[in-house]
Formats: sequence, structure tokens, C-alpha cells
Amino acid sequence: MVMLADITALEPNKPPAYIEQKSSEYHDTDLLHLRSHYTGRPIPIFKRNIDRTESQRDSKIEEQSESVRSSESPIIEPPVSQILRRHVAQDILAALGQIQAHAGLPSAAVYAEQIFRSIRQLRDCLPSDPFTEILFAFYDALAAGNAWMEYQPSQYAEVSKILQNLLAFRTISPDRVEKTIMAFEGLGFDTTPYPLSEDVAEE
Amino acid sequence: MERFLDTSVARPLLVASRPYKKFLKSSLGLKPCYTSKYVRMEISRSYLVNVISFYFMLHLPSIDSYDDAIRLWSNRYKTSELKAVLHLVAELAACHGLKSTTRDKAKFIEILGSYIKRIDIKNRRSFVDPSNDSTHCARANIILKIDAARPSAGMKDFYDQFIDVEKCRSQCRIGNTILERHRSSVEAYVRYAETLPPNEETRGFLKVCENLKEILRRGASALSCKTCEKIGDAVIALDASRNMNLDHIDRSFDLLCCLIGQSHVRHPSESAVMTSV
Repeated sequence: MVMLADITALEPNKPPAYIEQKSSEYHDTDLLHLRSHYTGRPIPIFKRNIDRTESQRDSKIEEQSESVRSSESPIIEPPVSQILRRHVAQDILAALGQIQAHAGLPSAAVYAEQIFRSIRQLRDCLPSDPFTEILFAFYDALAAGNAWMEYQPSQYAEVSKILQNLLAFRTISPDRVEKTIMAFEGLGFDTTPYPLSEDVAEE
Repeated sequence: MERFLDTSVARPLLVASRPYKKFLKSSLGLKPCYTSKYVRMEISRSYLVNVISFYFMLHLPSIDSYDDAIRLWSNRYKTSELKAVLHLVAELAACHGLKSTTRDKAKFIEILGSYIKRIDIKNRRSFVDPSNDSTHCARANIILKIDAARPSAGMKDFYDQFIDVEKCRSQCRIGNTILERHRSSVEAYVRYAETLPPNEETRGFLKVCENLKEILRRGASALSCKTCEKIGDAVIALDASRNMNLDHIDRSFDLLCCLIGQSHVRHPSESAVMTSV
């Protein structure tokens, strides 16, 4: 587990040592530390604590307004985003490799869960990043109705290729986001899987 | 023959249950399908705009969590189109493992924003546009532009333009479509409707014709975005390319297509398919 003291000891522009850690060795908060290191922004959890102490406002009102503020997240500079994307993508790509090998077996659930957890980490860390938006689409395609059980190894292999290609880009344009989502659709992944209720469909 | 999709088929391809999507896709075949801008506008009007309204309700300071928003929405809005939003919201939150707390509300807003954008992307990119929209519907030309860093600004802009029906109506040419270009067909619909008994098979067609009759009587002043919504099936049938097959689910198209020589196929509804599965 990386502590705040570890962060302050880091040299500027040098990746922290734990970036090399294997996926199983780092924790959910590591990405927030990593973001903090590269951007100089405080780690959100500490900022929230300071806000509450300083303002002495009613905690409910404070959390409320904070939740709305955080939905309009700060923009992180592209190079930092790229590093964070690579960091999380390593996990996702590893899980995609495994899920192909375990397709149709109960053990595939282990790797599906790893994919979901990694995407949620990225959601917490880079909520407004185009790469996250693309992964949200993949997440929904897998999660709704446990569809991850139905997709074929070849489909997962194609997604791996798409994600690897995306990692080569420093910035991801809105057009590329749209094309990637449609590429998932073309592979058979349903990225809008939550249905209307039937009585609406009948009208 | 190329396939031109009515809203009743295009919308389920985007937002129906998985088995029904599979059924429709297998019925339609592998070739790309066509829809007009007008059909895509109908999808935005009947679904996307409602989800955007819910998105903004989540931002209200009096709403602590998505459960609060669901409660308020379900108590206040009763139509089935509005209730459909609740279905989406509940499933989306569950699949993303979000709790109904103030903190998870912010995450949920991000996820819902991303989902709204995705529906719009699929609505624009899933079908081929045959470029034959004679209505020049101004609402259909409004583009949802979402900046990932400030999603609500783009959605607000889209919403403001979409609900400005007076401005949209002033820019469209629906009057020309109904009262000039296809006037003889519209008159034929109205004449035929007068000979039909009201029953389950004819109900949709008769409703459309009742509105068309009023438009013929009053002229272009009777045409608004609201009345256009009521005659949407006729607009789609009249504007469809005669060398394409019109795929639909609504029964009204059986008569709307037959009377103008439009080739068409009616597909079974979602509940019919789900019952037979």
C-alpha cells in the first residue's frame, strides 16, 4: 500500500516505483496517489476532509454540493491521462487474455470481476477521460445480464487489439471514441443493454 | 431490397431487451439498414430527452441520491415513456455497483451522462441515412455535443434547442410535405378512413387520419411539433423510398403503406416475441 509519505519522497517527473508493481500488489487508492503525483492536485479524500474542517458547514449540504462539483471533474493533462490509462489497461488486457482462456468455465468470473474492478478504478480516477468513456461502454456490454458469460474468446481478442491500439494515442478524439464504441457494436457487444420496459415498447 | 426502419423498429434495436434485439437483427439480415433523420428525431424525442431530464433532476440540491430522484420521478410522472427511464436508471446503478448515497450520486451522474451520449452515438451511427427527409425537420438537425469535462452544458444546450418547438417549427417544411408534396396521398388516407370501422386493427390508422383531416381543413397553421408527433407514422410512410422495404411494428403502417403502394413488413412486438420464447 502506498502512503502519502512515499509520494512526497518521489522525484519530479520520475514515475513512482509502484507503477511497476503487478496488478495484484496495488490497491484502489494507488491511482489517486499517482494522479496526485503527476498533477500536483491533492488526493480527493484528503481534500474532502480539509473542506469539512475549514468550512464547518453542515456536512450534508457540503457533501451534496461536492457530489455535483465532482460530476464536472477537472481536466487532467493528456500525458498524465496516458500514464494512468496504461496503468489500468495493463490489468484489463491481462484479464482479457485470461477470460479468453477460461471462456465458458466458472473461472471466467474471476477475470470478468477483474475487468469490472479495473474499469471502476479508472472511473474514480479519470472520470471524464475518453478512454474511461470507451471502457464504460465495454463495462455495460459485459455487466448487464451477466453477458460476459456469453461472449466468445475471439470477441475478447478483438477488444484487446482495440484497447492496445488506443493506448498508442496521447489524446483520444471524440470521433475516435464514437468509432471505438461502434467497433464494439460491430463485434457483437451491446453497449446499450438496459431495455425499456415492455409497455413502452408496445406504444 | 433495402430496408428502411420505422421508429418502432429502430428504437428497439438501440434500447430493447437483448433477446428482442437478437430477434430483430436476425429478421432484418446482415445488410445495413436505413432510417431518416426524422426517425432518429423521434427516438430522441421519445427516449433521449426523458433520460436527459432525469439526468438534470439528479443535479438538484434537494436530491441526495439516485433513489431520491427515482422516488420523485415515479410519484410525479406517470406516462409509460417517463416510467421507462426508471427501468434504465435502476439497472444502470445496479450493474455499476453504486449505492444510493450522496457520494455515489456523483459517480452515477457521470455514468448516466456517458450512457446518454452512447445512445445518441448509436442513434446517429447505427443506420444509413437515405437523405430523403422532405420535412427538413429542424429538431432532427440538433446535435448533442457533449464535452467530457462539462457534460451537463452540452446536454442543456441540446435540451434547450430541442424543446424550442416554435423556432424548430419555423424552420421545417412539414407543411410542404403534407399539404403539397403528398397531398393526394393524405386525402386518400382520410377518404379511406371514413369507410373503416373502429377496431383493434384500424385504431392506430384512424387516429392518424383524424389528425390529418384536421390539418387538411385548417392548413399549415394546424401543424406544430405536437401535431407532427401525432401524424408521425404517416410522415414516415409518405417519405419512405418506394424502392425500399419499410419495416415496422405498429399496425397503422399496414394501411398507411398499402394505400400508397409502399412495400412493408410488420414485425411482432417485443411482448409477443418474449411470450413465445
